[in-house]
Amino acid sequence: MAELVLTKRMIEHPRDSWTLATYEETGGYGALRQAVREMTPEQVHDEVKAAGLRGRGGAGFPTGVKWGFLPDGEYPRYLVVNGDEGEPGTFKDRMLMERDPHQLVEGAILSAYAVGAEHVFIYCRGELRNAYERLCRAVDEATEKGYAGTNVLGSGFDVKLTVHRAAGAYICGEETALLTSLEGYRGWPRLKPPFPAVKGLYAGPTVVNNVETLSNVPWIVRNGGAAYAAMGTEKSPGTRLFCLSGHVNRPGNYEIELGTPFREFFDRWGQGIRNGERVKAFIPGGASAPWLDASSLDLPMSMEALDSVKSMLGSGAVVVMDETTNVVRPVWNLVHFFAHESCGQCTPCREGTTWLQDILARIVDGRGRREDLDLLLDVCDNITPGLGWPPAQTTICVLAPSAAAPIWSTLRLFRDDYEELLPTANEVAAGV
Amino acid sequence: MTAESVSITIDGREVQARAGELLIAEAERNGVYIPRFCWHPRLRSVAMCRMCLVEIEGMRGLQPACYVPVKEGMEVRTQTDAVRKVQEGVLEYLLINHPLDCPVCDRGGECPLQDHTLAFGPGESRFVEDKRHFEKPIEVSELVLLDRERCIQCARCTRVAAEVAGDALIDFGSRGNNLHIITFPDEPFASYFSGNTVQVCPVGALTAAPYRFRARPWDVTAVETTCLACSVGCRGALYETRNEAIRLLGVDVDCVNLGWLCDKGRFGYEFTAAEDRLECPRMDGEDITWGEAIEATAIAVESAASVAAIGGARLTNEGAYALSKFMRVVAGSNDVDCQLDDGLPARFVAAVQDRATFEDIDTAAAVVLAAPDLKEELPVLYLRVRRAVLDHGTALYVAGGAQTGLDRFAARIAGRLEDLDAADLPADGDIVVVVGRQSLTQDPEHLVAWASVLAERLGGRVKLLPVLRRANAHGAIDMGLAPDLRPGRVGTEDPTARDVLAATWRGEFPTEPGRGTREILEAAAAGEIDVLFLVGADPVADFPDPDLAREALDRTPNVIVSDLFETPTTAFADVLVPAAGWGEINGTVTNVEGRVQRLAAAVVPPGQAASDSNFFREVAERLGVDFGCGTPAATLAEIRRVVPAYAETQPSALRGTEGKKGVMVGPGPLAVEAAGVLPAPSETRDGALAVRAARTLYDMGTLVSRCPSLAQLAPGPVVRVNPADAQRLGLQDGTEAVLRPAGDGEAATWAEPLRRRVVVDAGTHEGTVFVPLNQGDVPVAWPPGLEVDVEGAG
Ligand SMILES: Cc1cc2nc3c(=O)[nH]c(=O)nc-3n(C[C@H](O)[C@H](O)[C@H](O)COP(=O)(O)O)c2cc1C
Ligand code: SF4
Ligand code: SF4
Ligand code: SF4
Ligand code: FES
Repeated sequence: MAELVLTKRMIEHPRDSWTLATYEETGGYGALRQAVREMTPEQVHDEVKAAGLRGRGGAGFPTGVKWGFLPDGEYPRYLVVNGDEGEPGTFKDRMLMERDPHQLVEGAILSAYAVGAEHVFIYCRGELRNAYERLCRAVDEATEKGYAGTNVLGSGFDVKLTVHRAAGAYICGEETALLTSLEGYRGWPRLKPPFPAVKGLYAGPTVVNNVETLSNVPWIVRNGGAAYAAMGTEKSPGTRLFCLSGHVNRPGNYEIELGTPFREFFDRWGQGIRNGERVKAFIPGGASAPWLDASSLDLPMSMEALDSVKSMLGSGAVVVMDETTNVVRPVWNLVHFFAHESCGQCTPCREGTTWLQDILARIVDGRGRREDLDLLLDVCDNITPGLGWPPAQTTICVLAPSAAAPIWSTLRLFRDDYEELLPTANEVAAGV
Repeated sequence: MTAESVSITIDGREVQARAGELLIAEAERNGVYIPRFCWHPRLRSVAMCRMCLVEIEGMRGLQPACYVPVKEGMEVRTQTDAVRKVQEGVLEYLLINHPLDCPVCDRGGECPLQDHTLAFGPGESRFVEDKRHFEKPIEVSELVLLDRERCIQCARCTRVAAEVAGDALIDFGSRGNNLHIITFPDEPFASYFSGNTVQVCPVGALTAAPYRFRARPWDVTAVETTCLACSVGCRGALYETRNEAIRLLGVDVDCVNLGWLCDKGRFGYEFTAAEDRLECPRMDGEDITWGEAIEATAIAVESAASVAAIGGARLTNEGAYALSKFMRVVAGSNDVDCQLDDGLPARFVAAVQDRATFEDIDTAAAVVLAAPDLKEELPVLYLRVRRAVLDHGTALYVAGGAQTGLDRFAARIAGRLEDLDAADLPADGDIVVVVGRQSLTQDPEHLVAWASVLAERLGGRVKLLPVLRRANAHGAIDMGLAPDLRPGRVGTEDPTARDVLAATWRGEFPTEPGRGTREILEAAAAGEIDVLFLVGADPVADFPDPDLAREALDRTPNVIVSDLFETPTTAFADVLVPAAGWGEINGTVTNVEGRVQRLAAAVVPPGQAASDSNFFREVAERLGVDFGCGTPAATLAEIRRVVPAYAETQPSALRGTEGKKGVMVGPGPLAVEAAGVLPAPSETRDGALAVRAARTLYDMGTLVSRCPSLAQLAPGPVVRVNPADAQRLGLQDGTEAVLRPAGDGEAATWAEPLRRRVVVDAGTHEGTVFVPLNQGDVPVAWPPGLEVDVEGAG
């Protein structure tokens, strides 16, 4: 069992892990002191690259590589921390922000140092008031103590931190919508290119990283990238915080080493399936991920393993459903969510996701038609042509393909569940 | 700026394209139409509708052609199964919530959604769910209605409002499936350019209140014409059904209007259907025949010692030329003036050699506005200057006290002209100086003196753009409707021009400069004018000294008025003839740049209304003069002959695709003379406020008040006051203020003080009040330099 990178402090200090005192007593801000006194920004960047850290916000992009996309010599630059966590089943960033805000703040300052950002914006989901208040307090304390602000720890490095409380739209978690919303406009995803690295916040070069991604950085700086890379698998190094929910006996947030098989995760951390049932289906990585069935239980929880079965670890939300489940209703639930959260710019998303939701609602309601199943697939296909993975898209962002994933993946694995809900010929004739 | 040419392949065919331009536009230039809804060539790409997706070699997935710039070697496929499937998909998505009420939709028959569905859409509908419902239609402004069920959320209207007009007053509300266009609860969509949203809407979601349900597209015919509601000369297509003008749409001409119209121009056609048009000649209030009107006029002219004419700015070039020729050859008089002492010295306008074009504004390093608020008087020119300042980084300077819609973008605002000198302007690059009368109280001689000094100091980098707002005022001046000019921007004294003219204008014509409007009216008031022609001119309402105008008309034995409507002036007419106006006559007009464009008739004038050219020709013939000018085409041919600057205005050059640009008039022989040293500016009396008296886009003038859509929009009798002055004077928004000429009264004598409702307005300069003219109250005199004392009404 690997060391805990993210949650050690909150487990050992359940009552006050979030205070500055506890943070400092447990070695907090040591990495920062070390970095600004002994390391160049490039060296910090190199450690993150060596760690092989990959983004925890969904796409799993290598963090060190992303930082390298900033165009040389263009300032001011910004670092934006994505704390908008809103995907159904995902509740890990909330814990990191509430229970260890200083870890995130230190990670953000270190990252800003590495990329040369003069201003860090922490975009915190609006509903998470406790997280917001603790982050604000952590930022104030860090600034007072000289960890942030002008001349950080006497090093000559200046960085300002601003915590922004978002207004409650899931789409604002998409990085370009986030930036637009941060600028004060309607939170609509932007067309790409330009990518945020080139033209992001206020048209300046910008790095956007997830809360969990950056919370790893103090540990990496303290222990070295190699120590981090020694954990997990080759392509998915380190540990990850998974949000386990559904029909397990003990749902919750668990930090586990990447590469652990799902079955072990469900049995050891989740303490098995409720009522001794067996797993029928599970969502391996958040609402946007294609679903898997029991045949994938021995898959290691790594990005490459999930690639091989055309799904993903995504946002780290793992939802388990046992054999008593008819999948159509939970699928409808997710599609309803996406339709409700669509920003509405793109025709296929605005019209398509609602149409999908309406068809599913009819099927759940016992008013489905046999042709609806192919219709569902075709409507999905017009959103994400080919129904493949990673998804093709006819839209500006991937929210719309995300809405299609649960449908086409379950229609492949669990078509019987759909058919079961269709009225029989007799019912149709009787008009019930 | 010629873009580099690159070769790209579209559907296997190699074509040439301009590097960096959008694929959708370059494909279209090469004959490949990629379907689209949200893209509009004049708006920034948003790539929201997803209709234009195509395959591009080497790029993952489908790409929006409206967003991707072309590059050398790009390989594009627009016809693959994948592309077609997505096109069908997008159309199906757009139609599932569309009400499909085509039979009662204004767009039915000319609707991109209908057309695209036919060409690219799925054959059948698979949608059995409930459609989205909204209350319909709702008013987004006095002129524009919105049917949210028909909206396809393309953001064209919101972009036009925000990007083009700067009036971001319509936007999207809500999100996802419920995304819909909204206006803000406390701020109506009050924009001078609101009609453009209707024009760009690709479906029947936005409709113009006046056009709604008026016609089906297959019942209408259109002619391409030029707007004459101001002197910008926007190109438009005028639609007619059953001899009724029903709408004007902007035609996109790069160098003129970029496709836009202002609402005054767009809805200005309404006057053609007004109930109270003059339809029959009258003498002393009684209907007479045209023959009697001509006879009476001829007799009056024949026996007159002194004939003068005021007006003509609303005529076509052909009409103005006929009037000019009539006055010189038949009446033997140079007492002609197309301005009402409310513009600029005509000689200055005619003498500007290096006149700026609209396109010069696009490339200038700086634009100086020593002009009225373009937004109020030359609206579509305002859009172009705004675009230059915002998109091209042109530096803007505002001088002379007029607040303008662009003040907040100005690099510098100089309250007095003298406060802006050549040294204040950028040291490099071309500079366009827009010069126009900012207020009736401004001394125009001082303005042009300042402009000529500035021009001299800037040397070859400067281009002047003298602006007169009235319709075809610039064409009228070119045709010699000024006391010291003859056709062709030449002085009355010019011997060479005289010889050219003499070959065509047989007979004698005077060489001494005549009198301008003020002198004509003064002479008339002294009983020295026998016959006064007023051609589309209303001095009682528009001349800055209404008492003088009334006195003059009263004392003149033969006042002969040609107009479209009764006006305060027509009451003085001895002979009143009904004119045919815009939309009813053919000809050419010349805009503020000196661009000659075509004016086309779409409807037949009401009753016996006829063109002014006809009237003057008939009177001339009756007096035995072989006048010529039998048709607009014949008149234009004569103009080409006698006015060298108009030599290129062959009909062929004004028609077709090439003709869309019109023909630029060349300079005449006159040149601006620098005034040397400027007179010192006068100081304001203690406590008194300087007055800016000028037009607003909407007023209660003769034409606007006959356009029901527009008349309701006039601000009414208000006075705008800066908040600091308001506070000092104890004036509150919405209360009544009393204005009296300040000082010892030598400047002005008003019989009654002016009472107006106060609008506290931060845009009005401190120390100044702004008085919009023609707002339905009794006109007063506006002498140069007028200052007023203002107090609350009690
Ligand atoms: C619809 C949508 C919602 C998203 N929501 C979040 C979110 O709540 N939090 C997050 O970190 N990333 C979210 N993302 C991913 C971000 O766009 C971005 O990839 C991420 O913040 C990058 O950080 P990382 O590289 O550290 O993972 C979302 C993406 C999409 C398309
Ligand atoms: S895919 Fe959906 S959420 Fe994403 S930009 Fe388009 S409409 Fe908005
Ligand atoms: S109202 Fe018309 S222009 Fe505006 S978004 Fe809807 S369809 Fe587009
Ligand atoms: S700007 Fe002038 S010419 Fe153009 S539409 Fe308006 S009134 Fe007509
Ligand atoms: S025209 Fe390209 S996406 Fe709408």
